[in-house]
Amino acid sequence: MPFFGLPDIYDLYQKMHQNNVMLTFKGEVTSELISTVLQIIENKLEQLEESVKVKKKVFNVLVECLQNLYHHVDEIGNNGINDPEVSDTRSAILMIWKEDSGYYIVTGNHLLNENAEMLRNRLDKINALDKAGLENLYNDILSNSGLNSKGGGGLGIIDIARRTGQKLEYYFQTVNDVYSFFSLKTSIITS
Amino acid sequence: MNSPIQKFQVEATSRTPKVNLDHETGKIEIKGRSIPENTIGFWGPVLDWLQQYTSDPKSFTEAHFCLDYFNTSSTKCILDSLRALKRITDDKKGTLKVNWYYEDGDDDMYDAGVDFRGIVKISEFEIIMIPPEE
Repeated sequence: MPFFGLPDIYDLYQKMHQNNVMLTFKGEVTSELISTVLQIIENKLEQLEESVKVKKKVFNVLVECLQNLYHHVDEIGNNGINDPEVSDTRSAILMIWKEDSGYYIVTGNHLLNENAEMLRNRLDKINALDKAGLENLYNDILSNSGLNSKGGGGLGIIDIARRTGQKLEYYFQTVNDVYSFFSLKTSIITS
Repeated sequence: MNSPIQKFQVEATSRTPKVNLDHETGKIEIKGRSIPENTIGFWGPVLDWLQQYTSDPKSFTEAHFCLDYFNTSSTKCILDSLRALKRITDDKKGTLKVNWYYEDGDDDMYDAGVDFRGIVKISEFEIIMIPPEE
């Protein structure tokens, strides 16, 4: 049974239109997809004649969000679990929209419950820091530690926090004994 | 590895910068964006070249970092490049000037230059504003 009947499509279109949705995607985040998303958003920011500052900030934050999805989606099935609730391996969701106040990026992906706990602690730690605290943490990691196997050494999420100057809004939804779904909202306030 | 050092040139792509490393002129140029997923894959050869070059550099080396964007995983590689270059002056093998460029209005890129300068402590490190494109 299809989730959307044809009359729902116009509804969906209207909702996305009214909410200034610039792009939405659900599926596997590949390198090619990242290139395509970046190109689309870069063109839109150009059309909207945003300032250099806004364009660069949105683009930079989007790069980190996308590469977080690329590097940190916990692969489903590694544990030999064939789980219909989370069967879509490496699948993630992404939505970017614009409001008068700025640009908003939401991402969502599955992760192992044990990693969810670690991530929650990290996010809370980052959210507890002020601007100077974030700068110090960023520069400490940069100057003292190597890159991890994923490349970023955990800098990505700190970078998002320092660039946007906003607290990271997140939500963990327990899917089952093994997996959670992690949603992250990033706000780039422009006015 | 004692083979003579070769010029290193790669063209820019939508995700990686143009790189021009010339041992004959002592000019190092990295220009464009560095936002690949596989950062080490791209920067590894650049860092290898710089290691080799700084053991026998020109008397004057000028490096230009002119980046539109870089991701956090490139940050460490840029820092390692700067650290490699600094050995030229640490080992008293020559002089070094680094030029870090940022587009007018791109405060984050300006701040990144200030941060790198603070971490690496290269004495000749100039941060230069360029006008916005077109």
